[in-house]
Amino acid sequence: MEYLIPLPSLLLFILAILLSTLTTKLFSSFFRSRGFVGIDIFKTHKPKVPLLGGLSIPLTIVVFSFLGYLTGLLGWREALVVTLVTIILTSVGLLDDFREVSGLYKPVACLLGGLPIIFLHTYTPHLDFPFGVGFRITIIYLLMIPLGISVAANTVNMLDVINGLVATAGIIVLGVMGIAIYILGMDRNLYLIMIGIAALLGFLYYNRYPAKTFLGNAPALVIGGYIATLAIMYHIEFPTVVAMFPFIHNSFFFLNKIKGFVEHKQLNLKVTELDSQGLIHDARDEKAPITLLRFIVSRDPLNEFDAYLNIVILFIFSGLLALISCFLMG
Amino acid sequence: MRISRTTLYICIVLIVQWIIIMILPLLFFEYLARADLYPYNPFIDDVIKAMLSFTLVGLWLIEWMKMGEYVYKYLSRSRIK
Repeated sequence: MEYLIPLPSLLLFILAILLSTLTTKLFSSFFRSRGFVGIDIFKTHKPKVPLLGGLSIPLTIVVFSFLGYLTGLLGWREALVVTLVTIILTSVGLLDDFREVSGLYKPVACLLGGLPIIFLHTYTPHLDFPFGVGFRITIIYLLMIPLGISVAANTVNMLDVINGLVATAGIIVLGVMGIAIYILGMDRNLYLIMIGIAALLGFLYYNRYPAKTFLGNAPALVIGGYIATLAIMYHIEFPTVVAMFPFIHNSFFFLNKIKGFVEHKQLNLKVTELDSQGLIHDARDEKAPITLLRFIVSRDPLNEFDAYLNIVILFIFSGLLALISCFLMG
Repeated sequence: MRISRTTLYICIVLIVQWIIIMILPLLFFEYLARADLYPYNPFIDDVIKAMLSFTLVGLWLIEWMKMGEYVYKYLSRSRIK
């Protein structure tokens, strides 16, 4: 346990924050100069913000996984799995960012992200629940890995609606996973969790309200896939699912109403609307999905920053439930 | 900063879901999945456990959606005009 966070990890953590911050700035400038921008819909003056500044996240993860291997902080298998999953999900997301694809494309293509975990055998085919309940599912667990990666990647992508939310939520979930490892008494190096947090912190500096850059589909898929990969590798599936409750709440309410995989932009349904004072209201469209944001503003309208803080409170709350679960599992 | 009352209601929904997802495995897998219902075969064992768990997860999500919709409609009715 004394090697939980070795000094080289801390040093690389700081370097990862710097790399992520710097590359977020570079990607933002690059995409702005190419006219690859989106409209920030929850601002009254509708500013144009560069897309895909979040590509710094997969870049930081890949670079620092390699550095982790070189410095002996990571085994080759862990470093390779994380790198391959990140590259696969980035490729899947980039195609969606640059081409018009069907709603079914992302959930199906993200299944590929589970293959490196299976082939490099970085999983334990055993599910543990609180109160000492656990069961071994050797064969079916293999099928559940691609499913888990795809669900996590897409569920994170679906909540990328307001400034800074996905990055903050990702930091909270990864932080909870780190504490969960400690509570469960696993003698694991927290290096990959620290690198994930560092990559998100660097990006959040530019994505925080009011955003100077947007995340993009590819990095959002990577964040979800990365969280799921670490949950499988570190064998902390249950606490991770609990910590991700607000993500699940958002995406399954969407699927429940729409009854299928449809891209947001193809829906033509108004979920929320902005008034002249910058307050977000529920659009009251019966056919529109009850997303988490719509739910939050259903009773009283909120400005974007307050809506962000309220959803962050939900993530902190879910994180606490996840940590209580760990005590009940231990 | 304004903490919306809706956030507190969603927290209650999340607590209920958390309790259910902890109790379901306790009730079912402690008894049913460990029961010797068939001649032991690892594949059949896996398939039955997977079918049970997917069904339970499905039921859990449906219950979550129904509860969420009920709370959403309740909050919408009491909205600030």
